[in-house]
Amino acid sequence: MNCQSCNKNSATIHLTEIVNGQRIEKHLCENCAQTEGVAVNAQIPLTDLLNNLLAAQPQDKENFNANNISCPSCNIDMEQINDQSLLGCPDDYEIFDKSMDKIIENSQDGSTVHCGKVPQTQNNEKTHEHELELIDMKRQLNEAVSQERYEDAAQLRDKISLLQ
Amino acid sequence: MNIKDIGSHVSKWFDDSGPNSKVVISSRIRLARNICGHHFTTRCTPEEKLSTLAMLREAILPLDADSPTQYIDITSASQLDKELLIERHLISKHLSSNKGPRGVIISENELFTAMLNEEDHLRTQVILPGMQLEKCWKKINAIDSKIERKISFAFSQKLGYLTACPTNIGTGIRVSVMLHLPALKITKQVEKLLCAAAAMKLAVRGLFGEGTDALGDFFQISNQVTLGIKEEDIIEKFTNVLVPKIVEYEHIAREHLLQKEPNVLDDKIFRAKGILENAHLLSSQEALFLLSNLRLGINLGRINNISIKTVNELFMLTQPAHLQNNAGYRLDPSERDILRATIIREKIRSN
Repeated sequence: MNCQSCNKNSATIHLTEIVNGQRIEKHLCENCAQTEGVAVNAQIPLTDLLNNLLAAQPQDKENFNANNISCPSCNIDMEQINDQSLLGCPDDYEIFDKSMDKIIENSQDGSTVHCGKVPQTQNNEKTHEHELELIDMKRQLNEAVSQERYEDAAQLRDKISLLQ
Repeated sequence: MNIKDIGSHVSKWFDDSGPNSKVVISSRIRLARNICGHHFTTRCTPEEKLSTLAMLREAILPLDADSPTQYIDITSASQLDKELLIERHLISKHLSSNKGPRGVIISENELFTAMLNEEDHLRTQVILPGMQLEKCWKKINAIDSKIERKISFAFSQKLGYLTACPTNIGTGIRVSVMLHLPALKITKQVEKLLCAAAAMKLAVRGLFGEGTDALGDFFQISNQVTLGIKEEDIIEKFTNVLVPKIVEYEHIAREHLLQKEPNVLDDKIFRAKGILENAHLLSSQEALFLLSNLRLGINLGRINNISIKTVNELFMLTQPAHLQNNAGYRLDPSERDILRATIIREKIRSN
């Protein structure tokens, strides 16, 4: 396979990025990868990575929940949660997130994101805003890459790594 | 503070001293919180419940909550004591019937309570007379922040405070106002109110005799959505839009009755007074219904020799557990009906 950018050298760097559930593949030669400033983002927290991966594969995720997987912490499974309408521990919201998202949306009049009080210990609003900013910049990066605006992408990438 | 003693007087939230108290009996805000790193109570072992209980007691008891606080162990409390606390809105039925180590912290003036190991590890509550939701929020938010300095609550940036039931997630807040709406009931407009409330995602319950079909004339309106909206916005909506609107409708209905159907109104008021003065057997449902009409009559100036304070006292002290607590022994329902009628008869005649 030839490099998508210069179309001359053979592509040795294969990037698969999943941003907001969208799968983007890029195949570049080493030179182009360097000039375009594409770096492997190795600093994505593991939970984000897992969430992104799972979000990109909805059908697999459904199976994951339906397969009676139970929470490693409290042992509850989705069937029990549905039966008693109560969760077993805070982790369940993450472990069964796809199923829980639907339940939450239904019981909360369509809302899915908290916007009220944040504990002071979380160094709050700053962290929250910071995260929102990061999400927005990742979205912009994604957009820039898909529109092949690689200079913008490189700038955004630098900003993101600074914020992270 | 002894449980026996608290049953002898009217709760402060029912003392008619708050703003708009002719219609708004009380304002209440409750927050649901769980301790980070622990299972929710449904999945807690008794040992884990003991440890969450100890952590919360240690964090909350020393706090300044307006008046000194005290811990009451619900695990070992008698059935009658639990019923009494439920009737005074100090604990929930759930805490009473739940299993395992659990309890409640109550401030001396009963305006602040913290239920420990209910459906969530912690359910704090501030309740004030009349329309005072903003003050409730100020108080409970301050207490919540103080507890938070000592205990990390389960919280996610996306979903907010994590609760055992997804219906409480996010802010974990339940904002309620308790309203007396006898004129809307007489003019058959309560159905409209219920429909409007449902459309606005609000829950409506009866205030007394919870669990019975008859709502009576007392209604408790509370928010159902806890996620995606700020606490202040919920409170603002209640304070500036919702409650003033309902209060206005109730006043219009009262005015309408006074102007257009004075005989219908007076018949209800004086019939109620007559029965209360003379009955020898009164069920709690009947007493509730009649006292509500009497309260309306006093608020509209049709009855002048009985005070609202007296009526509120009768509402509260003739509830089943209050009757038995103050009598000092268990009474079966027919004995309660006799005692209830006696207390009401004597109290109203003495005025």
